[in-house]
Amino acid sequence: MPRETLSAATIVQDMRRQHWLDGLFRGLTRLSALLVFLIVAGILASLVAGAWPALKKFGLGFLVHTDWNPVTGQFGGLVSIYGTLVSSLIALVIAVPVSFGIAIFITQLAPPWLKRPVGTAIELLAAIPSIIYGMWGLFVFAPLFADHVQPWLTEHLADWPLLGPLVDGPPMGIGMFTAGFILAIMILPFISAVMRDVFEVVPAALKESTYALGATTWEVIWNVILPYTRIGVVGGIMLGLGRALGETMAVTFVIGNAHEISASLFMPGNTISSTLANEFTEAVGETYLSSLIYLGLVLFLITFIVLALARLLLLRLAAQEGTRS
Amino acid sequence: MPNEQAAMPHRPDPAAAPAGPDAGTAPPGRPFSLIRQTAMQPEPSATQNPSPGPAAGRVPDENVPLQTESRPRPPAKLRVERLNFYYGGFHALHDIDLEIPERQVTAFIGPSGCGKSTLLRTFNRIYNLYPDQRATGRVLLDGRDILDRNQDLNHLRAKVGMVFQKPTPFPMSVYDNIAFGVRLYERLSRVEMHERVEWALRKAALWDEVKDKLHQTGTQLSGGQQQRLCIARSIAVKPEVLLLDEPASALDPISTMKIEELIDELKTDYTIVIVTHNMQQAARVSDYIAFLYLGKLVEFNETNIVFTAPAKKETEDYITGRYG
Amino acid sequence: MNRYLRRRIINYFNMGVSVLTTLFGLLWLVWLLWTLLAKGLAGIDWQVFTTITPPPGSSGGLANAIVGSLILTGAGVLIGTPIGILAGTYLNEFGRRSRVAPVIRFVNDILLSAPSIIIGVFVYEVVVRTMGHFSGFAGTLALALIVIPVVVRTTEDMLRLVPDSLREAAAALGAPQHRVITSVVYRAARAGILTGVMLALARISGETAPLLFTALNNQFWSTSLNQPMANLPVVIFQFAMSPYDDWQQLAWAGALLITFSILVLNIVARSLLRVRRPGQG
Repeated sequence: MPRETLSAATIVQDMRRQHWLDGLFRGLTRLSALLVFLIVAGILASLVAGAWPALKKFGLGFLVHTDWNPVTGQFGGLVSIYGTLVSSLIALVIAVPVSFGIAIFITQLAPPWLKRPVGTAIELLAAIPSIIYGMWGLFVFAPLFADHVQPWLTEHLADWPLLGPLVDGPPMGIGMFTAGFILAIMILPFISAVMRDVFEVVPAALKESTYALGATTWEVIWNVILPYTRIGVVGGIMLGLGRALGETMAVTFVIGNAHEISASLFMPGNTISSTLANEFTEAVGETYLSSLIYLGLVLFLITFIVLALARLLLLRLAAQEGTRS
Repeated sequence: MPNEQAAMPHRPDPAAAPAGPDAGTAPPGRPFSLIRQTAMQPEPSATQNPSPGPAAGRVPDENVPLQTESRPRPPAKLRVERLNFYYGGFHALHDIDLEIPERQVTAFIGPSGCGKSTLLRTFNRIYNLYPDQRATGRVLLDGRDILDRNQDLNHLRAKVGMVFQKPTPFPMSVYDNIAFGVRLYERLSRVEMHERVEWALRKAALWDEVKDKLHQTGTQLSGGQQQRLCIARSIAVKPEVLLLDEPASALDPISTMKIEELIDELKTDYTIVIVTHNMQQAARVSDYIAFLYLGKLVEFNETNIVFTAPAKKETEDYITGRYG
Repeated sequence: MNRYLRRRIINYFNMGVSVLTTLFGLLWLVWLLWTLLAKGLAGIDWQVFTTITPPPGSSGGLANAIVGSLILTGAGVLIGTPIGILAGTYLNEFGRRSRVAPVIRFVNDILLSAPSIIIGVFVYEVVVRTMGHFSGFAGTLALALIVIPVVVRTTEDMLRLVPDSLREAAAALGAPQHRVITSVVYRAARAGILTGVMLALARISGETAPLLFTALNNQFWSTSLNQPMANLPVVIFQFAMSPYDDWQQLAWAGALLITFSILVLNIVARSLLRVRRPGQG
């Protein structure tokens, strides 16, 4: 039956139905998008609400006090905040150069047939659950580190002016450094993935013209590729940092969970997320629980700031590319 | 475009001077009678002023019946009145007035960027997918203004089919590619649907090639087959008008030939508007030609008249290959 | 020539370091997997799949935890996927020119990078406190909240790869917008979207932190979403930290199971995307 012979009423009915379904579908997508917004707003609101008693009681002083005493009801977040920042910093110090090396290998050095398998293998590091890193760190890595690496480091670096205090202490295997080191392995795939992506966008003409001047591969990387992709590289590092800051299970296994700040990186410590993981379900009393949530709020805000900076940088890179082309 | 020379005016016999790979393969019954027309036309570039007669009107006017020497002009299926088109701030079409005759092939030609595709895309308002594109003026389909706010776009597009420059098979089976559009507006039984699919594929001269692969993905067909699949898909919903936006520009000569044959066959049932940058193709397939330049309609007339006795200098320059 | 030699030495040195860093990165992957095989394989037997988690000192398996994990992750994906796909559709199909879309996109990135333990705290505050007890439902919700941003992101990315010509072609047949999207655009992007869902599934399969405060754990057989529910990650956490050899052995077996399932999911998802890129042809 050709359409022409359909009655006008059927067509009008069809059109109405189509419009209605169009509206319904559009409405559902809008609602879902709105839901994403509401979830994040809800997270922020519930953290503020949950932390409110502690916020009222301790104010911003919470951020600079080190007491964490459930018995006396005195809580300060500095130990956990310090641990979060320091372990993430250690992770960055290790992961950034390693990621850079990997990205260079994959984009500039590896023969084509090797690029994909190596790239995939490195990315699979990101797929392994954090709890597995934690178990491996605690039962495999830490003992080896304590028996073979730590004593040597303590012995040979102890007298150095700046490094000495950092490596002081008994070889326990677990502690701030181990946590940072394992975090480094965990964020390595994220940073190297971004670096790979931005290295790939460097125009071939730019590289070729530098090679044509007789530059070595390293000189091209250092003088052309890196300056060209600087912002993107920093953005990738920030994304990695965001990951490290919020990481929970791996750190909980290996950081030692001690509420103290030590100069030595080989001493146990604490991070915001490990404190939450260890104490949240056992916290009794409003002040204790709300102090923990206060910590969570601080963590959320820190990762938010880091993410915003990373996005801003990557956006600027995109804008730059836009003006270049 | 070297092969445009084949369509130069005053060439004694265009069919005898094929430059394109598929020239001379035209089936009988095409509007290919350039010689006959040529003899009767006045010297085209002798005067800038429109001479009385067929080449006279840049803008066809209903009130002044055009006397074409070959045949009377069929009634208009689409009438374009003072059409302006904007891409954001860019004014792409200026005051277009035009009539598309029913059950004929009308070709839009002109250098790239002249607005020929833009004009085509107003006829099914496909530009409405992009919020910053807008048209003013009127486009009447059977006397109804389709630019009207109340025009139902889906319904319009079911009546005015379109085939694009690049083949766009949907990522589904050959069968479903055809059935997709039909299912939107008609409720057919299995048997009826099967008949419709076969009818459309036969009409698009594709049936024999795909009848054993109806359940393969459409994307697995060759480029030429994909394009014919798209044409079959468009005619399966039985539109009244078929818009073809450079349908053969991405295809090999043999596929191009098949599609041109197809166009010739389809015009008995459909009003066809084709955009092409290939002068030879325009000469081969169209009954009427609209030449656009810089967003303006320069000339509109029967194909043989435009090619043999263009009224405007720009048209002549373009079809003789002096620019574009 | 001396200077040239120096430059070349620097170059070779740095290139050598680059190779070494890559080996350094791969070393951990190999080491981790080796550890899992060495410690976990011994613990995997029929009992692991047929008996429930034992009290300390007696033998048992992980059956309740495996089933619990399947329920939690399955339900999490079922809830999170449609919302994620629809929101991603909004961003690419409806919100292209709106001023809301960039905000939603940014907010989604926040959710994507929010520490999972924060998600756990949120669901605890909203659901567990309200209901008064831990539950599988709360765990499911926490996992769904992790699925959503992953799916939103990949859906938007994959829909963006679908060429507009396909949308035009469908619209030109008179298809209303919802049909254009559901019948043509989704179909063109389905491999990519499916990849996103599988990657999200892989990600939540190993998530522990958000379950600690929500589904908690259950020593016994329970498939009720209203009750605390056993699940592999939390069982692994508790058993690994325990002093009992039996439990530790089970923890390694569970770790092996979970990691290899996730690696398989990842590899399948990746190969899926490689074979069929959306909008091809």
